[in-house]
Amino acid sequence: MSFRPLNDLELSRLTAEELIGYVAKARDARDGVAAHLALQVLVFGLRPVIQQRVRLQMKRKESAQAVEEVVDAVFLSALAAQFDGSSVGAFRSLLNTIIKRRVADHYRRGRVDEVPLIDEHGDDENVKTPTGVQTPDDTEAVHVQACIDDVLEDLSEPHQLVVHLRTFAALSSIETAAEVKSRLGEEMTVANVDQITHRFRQRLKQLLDGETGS
Amino acid sequence: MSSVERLLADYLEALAGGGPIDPHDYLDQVEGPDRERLLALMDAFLARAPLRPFDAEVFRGSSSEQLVERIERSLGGVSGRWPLLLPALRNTAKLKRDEVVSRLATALGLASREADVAVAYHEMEHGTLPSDGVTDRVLEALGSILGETAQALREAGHALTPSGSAGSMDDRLVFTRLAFDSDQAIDANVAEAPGVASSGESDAVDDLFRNPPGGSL
Repeated sequence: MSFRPLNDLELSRLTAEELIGYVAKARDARDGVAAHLALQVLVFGLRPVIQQRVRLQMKRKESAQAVEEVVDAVFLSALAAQFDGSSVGAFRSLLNTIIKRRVADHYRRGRVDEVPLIDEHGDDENVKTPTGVQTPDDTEAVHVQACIDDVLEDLSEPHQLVVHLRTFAALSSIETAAEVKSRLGEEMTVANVDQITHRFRQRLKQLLDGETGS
Repeated sequence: MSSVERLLADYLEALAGGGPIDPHDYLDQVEGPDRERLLALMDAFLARAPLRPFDAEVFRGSSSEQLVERIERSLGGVSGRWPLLLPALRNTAKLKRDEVVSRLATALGLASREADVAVAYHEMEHGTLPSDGVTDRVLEALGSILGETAQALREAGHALTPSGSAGSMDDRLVFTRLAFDSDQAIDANVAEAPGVASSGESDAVDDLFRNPPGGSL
């Protein structure tokens, strides 16, 4: 099947994973213009989220410049791992790992002893953390991610979409109902949206607190 | 609603409203396990947020545009992550490129050949200088100027070669062509700078920056 270049509007509707797949296809098709535009859309689209996620992991007193340097390093590491085939697993999982490691590299840089940089392998359990550099304990983060995944898995496709739009994309209830109708042809009221979202949060809280009731 | 849930809701609402948000303003309101829980929830929700819609006007001239160029130089070049790392180290050290070049030329005993050193350093930042040919002596001197170890610079310089059935060089060239289209004007200016030596007089610089693989002067 021949490669069909997309415009920026069409590209903006893709997820990060879909955009990366598109860049790879553009590369295979030797379409540098298409690859370039997709990279622009990806970096522009993902940057605010990466900035916030990096700031979450860094100390409060870090300068804006320090945050931006780590953000840049995260992008390059993540994209290089995707395009050189060394990454395994989903892009989201890869980003989780890379953000923590690039932040650790930032704090390592002030040390005298030389510690090699780490190659990114999404599921590589043998990759070691630099000695003496403290990385945040992942236990709670893994627990939260797993609970969110579990709750979402139990939802129907329309309900998953409602949660995604209302909770993660922060659309209003009215916007969410309209988008669900547009994408899935499913009628939904504002009350439906609010109820689905409320139940998601309740169920998530139950799982996080170790409760097993449905 | 617990304090964690309330803070998460407040944070997500603030994010949706746009504008600069410091997540620590919310994290610092709780301690211990509650803080860990809130941090994990904030990060997990961010991880699932959709991409910001593309705006070509806002993108033009932004730091995102500069980042895309550096990424393409790294992915499409032969200098690994130097296009990304070297400018970042310069910014941290608050040094302009001219200052780095001047100090580097002096450290290498090439003060009279500063223009040639400028060309080589320019190529390092633009991903066109094969990192394997750059000697340890250059990286040690550059590391001292920029506050990084020679080993870290060497690691960062390893080429990011796409692997797989599509082949490596052709894949890189897709990124290379676009990254370097905008650099041709810059390259022309560097080549026309006064004092640029002809190729026949650049041996000392070549020995340090374009050494055959395996050499380490």
